[in-house]
Amino acid sequence: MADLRRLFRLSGKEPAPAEDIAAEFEAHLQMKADALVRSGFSPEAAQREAETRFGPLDRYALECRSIDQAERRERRRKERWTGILQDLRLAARGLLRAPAFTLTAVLVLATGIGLNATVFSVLRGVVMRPLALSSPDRLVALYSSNAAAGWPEFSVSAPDFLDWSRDAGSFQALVAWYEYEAAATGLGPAEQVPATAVTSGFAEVTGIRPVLGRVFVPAEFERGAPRVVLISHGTWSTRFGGTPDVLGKRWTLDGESREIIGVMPPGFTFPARKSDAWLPFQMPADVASQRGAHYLTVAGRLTDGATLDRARGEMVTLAGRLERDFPRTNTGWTVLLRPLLDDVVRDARPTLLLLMIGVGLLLLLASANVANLVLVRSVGRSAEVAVRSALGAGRGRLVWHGASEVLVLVAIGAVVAVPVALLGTELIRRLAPEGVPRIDEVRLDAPALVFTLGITALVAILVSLAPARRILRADLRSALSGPGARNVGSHRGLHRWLIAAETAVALALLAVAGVLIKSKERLESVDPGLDPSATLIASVSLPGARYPSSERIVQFQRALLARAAAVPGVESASLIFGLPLTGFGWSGSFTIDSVPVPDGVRQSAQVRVVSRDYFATQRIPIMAGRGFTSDDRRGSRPVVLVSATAARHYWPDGKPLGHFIRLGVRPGDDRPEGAIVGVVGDVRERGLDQDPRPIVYALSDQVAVDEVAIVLRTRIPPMTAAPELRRIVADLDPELPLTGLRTMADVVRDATGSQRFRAWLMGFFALLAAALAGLGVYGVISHIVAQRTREIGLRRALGASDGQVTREVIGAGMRDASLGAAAGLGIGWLITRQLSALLYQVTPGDPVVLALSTAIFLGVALLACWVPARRATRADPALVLRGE
Amino acid sequence: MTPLDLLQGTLDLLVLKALSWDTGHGYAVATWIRERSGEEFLVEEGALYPALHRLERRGWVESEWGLSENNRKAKYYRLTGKGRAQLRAEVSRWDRYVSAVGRVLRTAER
Repeated sequence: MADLRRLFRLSGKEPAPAEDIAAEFEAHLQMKADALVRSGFSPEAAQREAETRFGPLDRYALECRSIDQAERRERRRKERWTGILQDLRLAARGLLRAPAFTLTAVLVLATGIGLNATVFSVLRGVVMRPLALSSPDRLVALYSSNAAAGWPEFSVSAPDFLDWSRDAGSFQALVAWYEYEAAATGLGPAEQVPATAVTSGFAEVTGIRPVLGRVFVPAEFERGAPRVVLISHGTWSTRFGGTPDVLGKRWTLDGESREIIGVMPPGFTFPARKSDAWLPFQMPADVASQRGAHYLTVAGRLTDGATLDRARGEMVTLAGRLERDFPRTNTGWTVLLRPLLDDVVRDARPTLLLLMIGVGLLLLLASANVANLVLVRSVGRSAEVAVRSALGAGRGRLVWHGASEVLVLVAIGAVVAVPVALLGTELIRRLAPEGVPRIDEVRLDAPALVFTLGITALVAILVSLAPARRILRADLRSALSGPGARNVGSHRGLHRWLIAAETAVALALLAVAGVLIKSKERLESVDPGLDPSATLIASVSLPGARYPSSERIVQFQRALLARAAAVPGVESASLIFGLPLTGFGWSGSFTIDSVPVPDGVRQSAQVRVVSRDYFATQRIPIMAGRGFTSDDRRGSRPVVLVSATAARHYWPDGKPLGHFIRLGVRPGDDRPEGAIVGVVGDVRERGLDQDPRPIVYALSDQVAVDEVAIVLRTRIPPMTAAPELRRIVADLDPELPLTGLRTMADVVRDATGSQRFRAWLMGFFALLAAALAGLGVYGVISHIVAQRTREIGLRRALGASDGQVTREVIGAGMRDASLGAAAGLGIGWLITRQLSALLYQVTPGDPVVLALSTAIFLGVALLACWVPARRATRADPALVLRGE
Repeated sequence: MTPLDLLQGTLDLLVLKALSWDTGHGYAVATWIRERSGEEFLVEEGALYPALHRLERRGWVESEWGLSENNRKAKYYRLTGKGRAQLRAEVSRWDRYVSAVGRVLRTAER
């Protein structure tokens, strides 16, 4: 009977334990007394004797009871667990019987979970992970700041940095550095390696010790000290074989042989950029005169007691003092402080948060869809539930039984999500635009997966609530009394909510993606001011050790250009210091016609040094006067060109020609005076979304610069000219690396990389969302139509036309979808409004985008309603009415 | 000679042994133990029942109500397969225990 009871899950009545034990004891006493009587006791004496020999009845009864109770508890627990396992098994078997449903639900869940784990991993790896330096929360980035002049955060000049280091009490140490590409020679072919020159605070600020060797000693920061270098772990293992005897070996960088004194730990970056060589930065002899030359990046480690606010106050006071002491260079300049981690991840954070919102919404959609699928299944199960309920299964068990299927689905979905997430992280790593910090180290991370699983579990609970609600409200009689009655009391309200919610989410994502895509399109159609087609670029930087004089530099560059221009297929060859859209270049202040600039007034322009044919090569128009000609040579009268914006800005009468300007090209330069001989077209050199800045162009023959980009305009596909260019450089100087070979079109493309990345990913998410929501609406409407088959059949038999029925089904669905659409547009607008910093010439509520996304989604919804509506009109009314 | 107190846990072993021959109710088990032990043990018959219930909880015996020889309603206990294995293990442990104690005691006498 017990087994039978278990089989039907009936809660059988347990025998009352107290009575049971009493009866058992009573039987014993009787049998004992009987035996005693047989051996000659009187019945009364026998009874007494039996009780005596038995001992204290109550105590033993109590003991037995507590043992029995423990046993019952144990059994119940065990039965509960077997029940749960059995339900899970049942659920799994049920799912196997409905492969289409299972596959759909699992794929939908796996996509949602996998994408969330992916984006959360990236978010954690890039934005949230602390910097891999000792007590990274004490590290602060410091900038020079002159908001009025348009430089809210700017590099720091060497003299300012020295004053800060000396007087900033809140900091245990400050470090300044600049990053550059060094030519490494002597180990096979010449190559270019990322290098960083650091000041003496490097070791103390980073708190990192080399795995091998030592850090710099103070003497090595003195001018004329023996040349040393710290190398990266990667360089050690790939270039130096990873053996400990690397210490003391020498490495030639930019023509200078340096002793290797240490190897940094693997993965060390500071603060986030990979570098293969760290060198001591030796301050130039005339450093005191370079207060106007901002080129250092600065970070500091706060002392243990100091807060960021205190440090900020102190630095601002310090900057005020420097303003008073050095009015010519420091008027208007203060200091900006920010936690170093914030500084590193600043640009990546909004994009990643946006993506997180995107995938979060997708997960919501996925869950809603699965909830709906489960709901539809549970309706088909009403009869089964009713039968089990009638047989005595408790409500808890019934609810759990319904939920078990959801749990199995979510569990399988989570397993399938792992490869999805692995693939996703790999894809994001590959597709990420230039400059996303720490993206190389992003891995699918366990906490991210666990976090996502947690959310999913929550979702699962919510999802399983849908069938649970039905079970709790189920009316036994109506469910059992017949097939027709089974459809009574469907949850129309819940269905309407599902349609509206799914539409809202999908449309919100479509609107956000639409705005981002339009912004990207706008940006990509911006005229950069030059023609990037059929242009090959590469960089060459001449090490000072072997090219010590301007003559040597100019001689090399002229030879290079002459030979490059002669290559078949090359139309013209030129060079520029500060190639547009690469972030390179100096800005400098200047005087016009030797009129002194008043203190605190900033009269500055971007300084670019180009060869004669640069403007022809890049197809930048000459708008007034003339370009550089072969008469402008080394030794002839210095001449410069100004950009249209510079002309407009500094010569309101529009007549800059003939004026003289005197400007510093590099820190400590002798500021040659140049006559303005022409005005050229503007170039958006800072970024396509940035307005052109004033530019002054000097001639490379007259102002020698050792680090330039070569620009070739070709008649053949640009990259096919690359081998020849490489050969020419190797021929002129075998120790010179030619790097960064690519087309100018690539450079322009990279300039819109993050916009494209955002637009692509959000576009992808939005498409997924639209598909999911379409599937959801289709599922709901199909279900409603299926439930109303009899009613529809009846009405058609009574003369309703197919058109009427179709219109009605579609109308009901679209009414809910429209409600959701309105909400979705609102949500989309709210999200997009937070993004205005990422948008270019598009407003969050762009009407075209909103109209288009609404049209797209309502189209999808219409299709999703139409298909089931049509199915309803296809059924033969006679069959429908006769059947169930 | 004064009767012996039962060593801790020994009662369970004796009950298992008693039931290894045949299904029986508590009274039969008590009688069986008393007779086989030569009435050496000082044990209240009631003490048998917590032992029986404990063994049942561990799954070594199972019980069922039935009628006794003289038509009285009584609860019958039966050894399960698990109980039989347990008995074998307990017996061999008991033998080792006894022989070890015996060896020690004999050594001390010398």
